[in-house]
Amino acid sequence: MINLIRMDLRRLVHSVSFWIMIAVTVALAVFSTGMTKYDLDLVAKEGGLASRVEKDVQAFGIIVETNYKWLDGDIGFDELVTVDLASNLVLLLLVIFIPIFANGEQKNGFIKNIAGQLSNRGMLVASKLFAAAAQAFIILVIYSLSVAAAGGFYFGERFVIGSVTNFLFIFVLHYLLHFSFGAVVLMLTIVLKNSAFSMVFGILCCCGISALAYNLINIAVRFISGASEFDISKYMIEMNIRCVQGGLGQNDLLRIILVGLSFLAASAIVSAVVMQKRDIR
Amino acid sequence: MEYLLSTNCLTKQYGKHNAVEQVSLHIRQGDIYGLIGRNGAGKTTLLKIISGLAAPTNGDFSLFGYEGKEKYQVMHRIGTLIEEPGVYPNHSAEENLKLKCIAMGVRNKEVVPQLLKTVGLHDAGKKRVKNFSLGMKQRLGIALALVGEPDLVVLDEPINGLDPQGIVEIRETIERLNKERNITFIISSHILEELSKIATNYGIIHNGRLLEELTREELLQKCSEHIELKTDDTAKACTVLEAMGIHKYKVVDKDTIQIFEHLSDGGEIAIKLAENSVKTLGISVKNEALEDYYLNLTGGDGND
Repeated sequence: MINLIRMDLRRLVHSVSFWIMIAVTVALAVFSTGMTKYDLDLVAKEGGLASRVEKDVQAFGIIVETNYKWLDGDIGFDELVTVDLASNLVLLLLVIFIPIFANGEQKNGFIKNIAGQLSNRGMLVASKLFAAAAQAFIILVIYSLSVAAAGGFYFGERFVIGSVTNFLFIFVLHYLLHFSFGAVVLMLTIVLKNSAFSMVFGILCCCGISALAYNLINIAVRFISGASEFDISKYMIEMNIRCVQGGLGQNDLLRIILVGLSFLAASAIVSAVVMQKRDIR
Repeated sequence: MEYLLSTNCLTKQYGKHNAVEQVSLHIRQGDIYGLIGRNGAGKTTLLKIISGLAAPTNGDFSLFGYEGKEKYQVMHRIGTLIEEPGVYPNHSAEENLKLKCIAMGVRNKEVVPQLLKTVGLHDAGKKRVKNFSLGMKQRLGIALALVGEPDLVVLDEPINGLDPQGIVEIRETIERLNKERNITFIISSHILEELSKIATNYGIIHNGRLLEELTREELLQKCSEHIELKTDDTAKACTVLEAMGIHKYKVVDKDTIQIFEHLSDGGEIAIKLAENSVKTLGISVKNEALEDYYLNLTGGDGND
């Protein structure tokens, strides 16, 4: 097990996609912070026009909301990162790079060299999950550090660290949810032996397209059971990611943790069972 | 007899098609077992089951004396090359081997250079595997199968794509590992003449069924040059042959004797038989190649 994890981590850092992932993460953080700066400058220059335009197009897609309190006061690092993470922007990177990494072994057949020699092939899934956890952690840390650097560059002295405890608390919640969603995408990659579908699924979820399906489910459930308050999106990972921005109540916090852990456990179990039962081709 | 590997009525079904059907083969420590069969005969499926990559629909096999679920504890003693080598194309041969070494818990840093030397890839350097020739990839696949010093190595069509020199090198490597380290090999191939140069035992598989298992000696006897004598009285003919000092012969059926010595004395044998009132119905020198033997056994029908 430890050997497999070591192998996957070595493969991860020796893969081209890993370094592309880091480069894209840095670029995205710099771009997003730059766009926030541009947005703030625009609002300062043209009044409420920019914010009105943004609200008009908030249907689907990845939207990083600008806090217009930043026009005058300090811009906290914790707030800036939290807003970005809650936009599913970083999740988008994970749903692309986790399947690329996880499917490599299946695609080139390297799995045939090791799968037969394991007493339990579920260990292969465990090591992939560990690698996905590492990818999620690295992406989140590098994104946060890049935002810190870009924030200092764009906003100068107005850019402050903010509350470290608040940031760490939010960071841990985001890490759990991001990793959990990565595990779902990993499960789809393993079950379907295909990275394309899982990537498309992940990207669509990041962009909020899944909300259409959730609305249909809500309508159906409300119609059948009469539970007018029912909202399935409360129990979906990508929707919970959008909620994690601070000021969370006890119930919200509990729900977020349970959703993250449940999806993580379910994905791990399904992946392990499929890997154990299915022939290696 | 204690076998290193023995299968018991292994069957693998895909939908309604039996890829492997009731196969019971037996391999002893130190054998080089040649699995002969045309494309689609079920060789790869059988090897995948033995290698732990596929589960049988029915039947079981014992490995190193372990049966049932216990055998999965000794699966790490098998090295495999099934179909084309599974390698990371953007990595070098060395890096691919390092990854397998890490996965298998092999810490000795000398192993990778040794394996590269064993398969003749020590000059490959940092060249990426995607730029390798088919033969080089095949050699790397064999090197990957040898990581962890396995006791049993399963090679599926290992000489595919190799040039004549490469074939000789791989053959010599297999023979050397077999002799020096007592590694048991199962090698599938449809290139029968090449297989016949190294295999000590054979299993002939056709349409998923194991038609015959035989040793090299048995096969050589069946395929070697011999006089085929057709006579009306085999018992009396045998007495005449013994009197002539011919002892290497085999009575095949009630009117056929195969003689494996004095191959140029066909005329004299016929005269002696006549002198002893044994009628010679036919006498000819025959030489059945391994391919002919295989075709005769399988009925010679082509690939579907």
